[in-house]
This record gives sequence, C-alpha cells and structure tokens, in this order.
Amino acid sequence: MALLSFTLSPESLGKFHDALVCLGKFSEVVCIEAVHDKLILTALNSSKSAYASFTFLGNKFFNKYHFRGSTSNKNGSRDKFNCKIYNKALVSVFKGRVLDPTREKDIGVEKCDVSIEDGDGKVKSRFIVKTMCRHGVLKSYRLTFEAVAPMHALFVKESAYNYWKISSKTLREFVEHFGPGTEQLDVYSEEGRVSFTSYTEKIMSGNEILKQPLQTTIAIDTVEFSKFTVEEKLHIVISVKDFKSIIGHAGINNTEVSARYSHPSSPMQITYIVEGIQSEFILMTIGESRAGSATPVPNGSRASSKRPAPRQALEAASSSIRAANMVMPPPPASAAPNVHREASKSKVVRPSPPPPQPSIQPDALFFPDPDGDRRWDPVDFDEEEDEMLLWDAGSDTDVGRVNSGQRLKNTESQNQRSFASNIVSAQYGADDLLPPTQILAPTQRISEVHGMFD
Amino acid sequence: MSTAGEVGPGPPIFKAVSSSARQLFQLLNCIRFAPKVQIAISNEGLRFSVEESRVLQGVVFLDKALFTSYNCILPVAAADGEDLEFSTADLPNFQISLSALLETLQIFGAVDASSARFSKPDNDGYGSNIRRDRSNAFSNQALGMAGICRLSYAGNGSPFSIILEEASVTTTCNLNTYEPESPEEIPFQRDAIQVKIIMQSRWLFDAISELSSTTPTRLDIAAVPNAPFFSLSAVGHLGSASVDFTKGRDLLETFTVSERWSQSYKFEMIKAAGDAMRLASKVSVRGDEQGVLSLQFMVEIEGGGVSFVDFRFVPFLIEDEVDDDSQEGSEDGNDDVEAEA
Repeated sequence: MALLSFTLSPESLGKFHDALVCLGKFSEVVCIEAVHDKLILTALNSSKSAYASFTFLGNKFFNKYHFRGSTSNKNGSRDKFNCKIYNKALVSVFKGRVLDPTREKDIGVEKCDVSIEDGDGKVKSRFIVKTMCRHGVLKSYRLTFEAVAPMHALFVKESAYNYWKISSKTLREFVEHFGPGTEQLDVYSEEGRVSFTSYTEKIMSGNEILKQPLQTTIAIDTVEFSKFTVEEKLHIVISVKDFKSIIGHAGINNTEVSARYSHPSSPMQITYIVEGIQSEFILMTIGESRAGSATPVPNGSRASSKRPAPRQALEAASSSIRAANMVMPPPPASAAPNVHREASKSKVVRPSPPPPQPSIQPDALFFPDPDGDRRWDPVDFDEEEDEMLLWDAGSDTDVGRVNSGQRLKNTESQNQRSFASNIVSAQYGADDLLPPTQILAPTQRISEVHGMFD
Repeated sequence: MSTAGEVGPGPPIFKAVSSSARQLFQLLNCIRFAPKVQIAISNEGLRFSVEESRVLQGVVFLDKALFTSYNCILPVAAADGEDLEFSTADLPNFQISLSALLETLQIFGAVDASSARFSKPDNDGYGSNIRRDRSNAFSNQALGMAGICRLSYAGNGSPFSIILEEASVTTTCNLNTYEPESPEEIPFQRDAIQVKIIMQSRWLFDAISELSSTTPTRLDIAAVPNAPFFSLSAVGHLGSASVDFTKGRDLLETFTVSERWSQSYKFEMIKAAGDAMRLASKVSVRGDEQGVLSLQFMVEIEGGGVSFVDFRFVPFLIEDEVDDDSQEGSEDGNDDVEAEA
C-alpha cells in the first residue's frame, strides 16, 4: 500500500518539472517531505548558504493527493514522510513534455501518477512514477530514495524590517542584464532609486588576471515596486547566481516576488506564490566588512585583497544560517602573521592610482611602505655585487626603483630581484646587523609565489 | 602496390556520382560507433558495415539508386558469375576509416545545422525534435548549389577517392584502404523469427532516451502476445525504469509474437543505434529464437526513396537469476488497484 500517492496533470507536471529544475540549481539532491495536505520539496546548497523550497498544496496543485501513514493503526501512522532523491533522476523522470495535438507522432504525457512505497521489509521502498502517455505508452520508474529528514533554513520574519515586492516579469527583465561573469549582487536604495548592482571583483594571481572586474548597475524607481519599505542607503549583497536561479523560475510565472531582509550577514528571504505552489528561498547575505565604503566596487579594485574572499564569508556565515544574527568572522589567517604582509596590505589600500608598469605592480604588495624601506636602507650597497643593485635603487622612492628595474636586462629577473630584496628586508627585520654577504640570493621565481595577491 | 598495378591501366572498378554528400553522410552517420568501416562494392550498391566486439553490427546499404551515376566493373572472375550469386567475399572489399570518411563528406558543411551536435550524438534528442539534419532555408542545398560528390575506387590496394565539388571549390580526398577483415556476420535466423514488430522509429528513440536517464548497463526487451505487448526496461543505480507500449495494436504497425520473448542487451550497444532511430521513420524490430535482435531502420531520403540501416545485436546470456524488477512490477500492479479503490 502506497504511503503517498498523487496525480499530476500535464500542466502541473510542467510546473513540477520547473520547480525541480530550479531546485537543481541549488543542490544535486532534493529533499521530499510529505504531510497530509502538502508536498514540500527543498534543496540546500553545499555551502549551506542558499536554501530553496517549494510547497505544493495537496488540494490545489494536484489532481489527487493522498497521504496515509505506513500502518492503518492511527497511533502508529506517521504524520510525515521524508526522503531524499537525486535531482537528476527526478528531472528526467518528470520531464514535462507538452502535449502538442498537431504532432501525431509525439508521445505527449496525459497523466502522471506518483506513489511512494516505504515498506517494512515486505515491499521495496521506492518512489514510483507512472506516466501515461498518448498512444498507450506507459513509462514507469521506480527510483530508490534515502529516508533522511531534510534540513530546513529558518527565517525570522519579524526581524526583517526591509521589505519589497515587485512583479516577477519586471524583475526578470532586470536580471537579464546582469553580466554573465558576475558573482555578487548588491541591492541598494537611495532617494527613491533602487540599484541592483551585479559585480565581480578583480582576482589576480601574480601578474595574471584571473578575473576582470565587472559591474552592471540597474537603477529602478521605487514606483516599479508594488511595495517598498527599505532602510535608506543599506547595501545588501547576495549571490547573483542564486538570485538568477530564483528569478529564472519566478520569471516564467506571472507573480509578485517579495523579498525580506534585515541587515548584512543576516539571511534574506524571497517568496512568491504561483497557483498551488508556495516558493520560498533563503539566501545568506554577505557580511558587510567594508561598512565605510559607499559603492559596491570601490575605485581601488585591488582593495579586494583587504577583504576576505566573499566565498569564505559565505561559508562562514552559512554555519549559522538558522540564527538571525551573526558576527562577521575575522579574515581567515591563512599565513602566519607577518609584519610585512600587514604592512603591504596597508599600502594596497591607499587610493593611489596603480603603478604604470605591470611588472612593477607586484612590488606594491611585496614592499612595505617606503618609510620602512628607508629605515633598513644600507648605505654601502652601491659597492656590492650586481645582485644588490636593486636594493640600491629601492633606497629612495618608487621612481628610483623603476629606474633600477630598467637597468636590468629582463623583467623576469627584475621581479626576482625585487622579491629578493623583499626577503632582504625581511631578513633585516629579523636581525638587523647581518653582513650583506649573507643576504639571501633570490631562490624563488616570482611566478611561483602564490596566494599573496588575492 | 603490385595489385594496384594490375588494375591500374584499366578503368577504376568503381565510379559513382552523387548529387548530395549530405544523404550519404546522414546514412553513414548512423553507424559511426566504430573506427573502421568495411565497404563491399557490388553492382547493386555499396555496403558499409561496422561491428563492435562481435556483438554489435551495423550495416548501411547505399543503393545505386541513390547515385546519379553508378558504374561498377567487377573483376573478371566475379563478373562471370551470376550477379545474384555473389557472396560479399568475392566482391571488392576493403576497410577505410569511418571518421575520416564522415569528415570528408561534411567538408562543405553537409550538416551545418547539426555540426554543433555532431560531436555528441548522445545529446538528448528533444532539443532536436525536428529532424536535426533538415537544411535551413539558406543552406547551399536549399539554394540549389548542392555540391557533387564523386566516389571512385581503382582496385585492390588503391585508395578510396572522394571528390567533392561545390561552387567551384573542389576537394579531393584519398582515403587509405585497409585489408578487409572478414568477420562473420552475426547470424540471424530469418526462418526462426519469434517476434516481429514494426513501429515508428521515433517512439523507440523516445523510449530509449527515456530509459537512458537511469544510466543503465542493460536493456531488457520483452514482447508478449497480450498487454503490455512490448516493453523495454532498464535498471540503473538510481532505480529502474520501463516503457510499455500498452496499446499494442494501435501503436505498433505490425506485432507478431506467439509467446513471451524476452532478452537483454547491453544498453550502450542499443544506444549506438540512436542516430538511426532519430533519422529513420520506421523501425522493424525482430528477434530470433537465439535472441539475436535485428533492428531495421527505414530512412526516407529527401526527394523520395528509402534506404535501410540494419543493426544486429547479440543478447546477454541469460542466467538463472531472480529478476527482482519483474517481481516489483507485478506487486506494483496490485498496488495500483488498491490505490484506485
């Protein structure tokens, strides 16, 4: 005897499929939860920073919906059934193919019966889907599932004082403009204008630019929103990908999308209702580690090195997704605390334009601020060997350093040397009176240095 | 080289001209599961056969009617005999690289519409519901600029030449020929056919692509005289799936089976026929008493006429095993009754 059985019409099959596709963008498994009057499908992404749930109302969405406990005994009957199935399997099973009467050869779906059996030894536990197609083709699937209770994300509505509501179609038009490579989405409102900014920060590894900074801002008048009560000048940052997945689903239905949130690093809830389906998404917002900066992408794009990577923030934040509040964790200390590292960071942040020559650029990170350099500047380096030339050049200013670089034959060795001199300064920092002959020669190519620029 | 020398002075033993390399490509693309194709030339046409591990065989026969001109001067010994008496062994027989042949045939973009998909034929067919090789309105074919394709073969040891001409561009390709292997054909007992079904090829394709979602290794095919008539099922690690053609009489053009016939085949092998399933209009599914499955696809050629693509499959040896999924199936039926009540 089936624990749960329900029937989908071709139209609702299509919607069910859409929901599964949307869930598939969050996680590769779907958690199914059935109670007496509704079926809930949820997905939580691997970093636990985004949660999606679709609630299908038994009497509204399905042609037939019947849930019964595993035993007829009313005390023993379960009031809930949970399982977990690979989304990939479900998506292919519920592939909604619209019946097109003009194409006689096509096998369109006429009816889809789903039942779940969870026997205690007698019957095999299977998720059974029987799809009746035209011409009497019957497709049946018996999927295995894992009986696991789903993880739900909680959202405290009361504390979310920011609220807006907008048509899903309008929102979809905006989302289409977000750059394909962008990662974060910043929502900001000021004086009756709401800006949705999708952006990517510059990521560099050595001289190689891994990611170009990109920013797309769409400004909308608050009139476009059917409801809008949001704190002025509040930046809230979520993942563009998640937002796109949501709007991708909401946009195919004509509905109103509501968003609720409080402040950065607290979750944001996005909800909408399409006939018989309640959709709810909870997204972690990225913590505001740059409270002072007013624009999502500061002019000095290299300031990214100052901030912890957004992913890290997300992951850290996600651990407390259930909690309404959390404190932004400090930037992860990947390397041992290093005076020069700290110093270099402080230098990066200063709003000066980048050095004109890219080969010089890494110096900015490796060199401590010029004052520090000067402090350790040995006077007699002129008389030393060739490899010490750079040190000499670095004695004065950045310009002097550039000149010395030009004296060298190729930029590669130049980089090496500047790196060497960096080590030199570090050495001096440790014990300052080493004779110059014991200074370390360059041992590592600059291209081998990882993790210092991000 | 010496053998080539023998034939060299005379005219090539085979020459044919086709007005459309596309047709040839479409048909040959159906059997592109093996690296080499064996070609046998006869007075009636060209026979292309490929095989894999001696359990799967695909044959495309290009009838001479597909060519605008077709000349075949068979070696003297063979020509003396009666035409119909030829066994393939006596005919000019050689192997060439199938992928090279296909690349050549589409050198002018014979398949422009589908070239993107060309590299991944397993791509689910639903994006390409419409016949995927259909030419678009501005293709060269539609504009009447169709290229001419000349095939020739001088004789044993010489290359198989393909000359393609299109809009004053001529490409000459000489494909090296290899010694023929003479694998035995998969024996199919025409006098001991136990099941014969003719149906829309599209439906078979649909069923197979549906089943492939469970990533199975084995495909079970069953045909019974009453409902569910014809059933394809597969078991994968995510569960099992089956497609039943329950309205046998309406759905299946011909359905002849005297008693339950059921066999299993390697799923990947059946999938190798996917391109043919998609391209063909009808398929004849036949099984003999040894379980050899023959799928014969009827492909409608643009501009009238039909061609056939044949596949033969050797079944898995059936051991005494508890087929738990058929058990499940029967239990399942009972449950359904309960659910209805």
